[in-house]
Amino acid sequence: MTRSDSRANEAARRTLAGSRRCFLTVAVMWLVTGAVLTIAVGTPEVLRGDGPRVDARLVDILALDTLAMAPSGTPMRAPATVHPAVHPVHVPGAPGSDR
Amino acid sequence: MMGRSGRSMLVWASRELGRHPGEGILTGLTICALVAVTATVLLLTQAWTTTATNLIEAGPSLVVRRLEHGTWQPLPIEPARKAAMGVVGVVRATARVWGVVTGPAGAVTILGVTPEQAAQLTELGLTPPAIGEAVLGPGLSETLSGNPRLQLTGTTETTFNIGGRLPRSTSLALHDVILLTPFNARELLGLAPDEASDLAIDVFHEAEEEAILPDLAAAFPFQVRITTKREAVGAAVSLLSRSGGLTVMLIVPALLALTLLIATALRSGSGSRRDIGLYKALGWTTGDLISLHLYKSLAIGLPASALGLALSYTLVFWPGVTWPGAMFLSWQGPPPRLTLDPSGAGLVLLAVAALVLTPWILASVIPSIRGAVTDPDDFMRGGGS
Repeated sequence: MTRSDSRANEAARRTLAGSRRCFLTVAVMWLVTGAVLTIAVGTPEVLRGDGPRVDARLVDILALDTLAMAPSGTPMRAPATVHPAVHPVHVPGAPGSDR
Repeated sequence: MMGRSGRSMLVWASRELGRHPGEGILTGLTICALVAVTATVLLLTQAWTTTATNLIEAGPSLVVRRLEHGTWQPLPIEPARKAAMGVVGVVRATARVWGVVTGPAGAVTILGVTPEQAAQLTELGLTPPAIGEAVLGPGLSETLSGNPRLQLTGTTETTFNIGGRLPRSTSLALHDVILLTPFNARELLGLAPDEASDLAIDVFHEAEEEAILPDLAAAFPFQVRITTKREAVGAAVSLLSRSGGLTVMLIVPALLALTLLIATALRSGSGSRRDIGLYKALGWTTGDLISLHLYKSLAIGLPASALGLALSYTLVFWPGVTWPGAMFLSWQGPPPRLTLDPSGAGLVLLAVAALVLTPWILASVIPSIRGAVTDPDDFMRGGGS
């Protein structure tokens, strides 16, 4: 093996070690950050899905058949929000608007 | 030559990647972005469908609205309730008082809360409304923060004291809803004391929802329109599927990017035929070469797709995300804070990872399989196919 081969091998070893360190550092940082954030903020709701259950009780108690995902008074708030009988302000000529 | 161990293959793969670090990082970022975009769109649709279905399943089986001359009319409560309870299979009929009125920042939904409902809300730790008071949904709380009074305009114009603010956890159901007493709600909507907006009905068994529709419609002394739970679920789910066009607009470029990625991987593999020839001349077996390329593609693909999946999971399931409402449903004020149900997300994540990783790995490995049937000398002289 010549001296230049030896230098090339040494350079390759250094590159290899550097890339492995870099890969490991990024992987560990990602795992640690993800774990800390998940534990600190999201664990109960993200992993167990507790959030929707609170709303489900409300839907049951208030007998709701529509969710508040779309803005009030828009056709997207289907099927019942644009109920003209109780919507006299926004639907001209609707029953109840002349009361 | 004997096959090399996994550890030594990993070392060789890292060394190969280290020769062109920029290319490896760019490929990783592309895979990460591809996975993140695809998984976010699919997860959001799936999570919203599950969440909306679960929530609306908790609501009434049927909703009866009075119809006259093709338009809605308020219901007389007692005759309507009596007619509904007379139908076999109906176990509960609740008169609802609600409607849309004008608030300080646009249209809002008001909902009359009966004393029984108020007691149940108190058990949940929520503040029910008192006479002359309004309890604001979380979205309105943000809009009207610091304001102790609220003016609402329906058939009358009324000013309410703000008696409470609902927590953010209620956002999905009551984001821009104002809870009032039934008396105040009727006054605002112009309903008589014996009138309600509609009738929510619960049936004994889910299968009866559709079956009793003709009997129920015939039971009322006036024309009615009955909305089933299935229709309500369909309407809620379609909210985000209306953005299906946008989904396609996101998915199509993602698939094109995947195709480009595969084409690049295939070309890069063909370009390294000289290396393959060299390795074979040094005694590497075809199995070794396939392993080397497999490790190389996995070393890039696995962390990149894991990062992309984590990113999309966080974007969709982080408690209280607001971007879907702002992006898809044109809220002028603060959009609802969504806490979506993550059940079934694992399957979507696996499917997306497989969709992206499988062709990527195959495209990386195929050139080395092709190389197995070629004479190393042909490769090193620039030949081979």
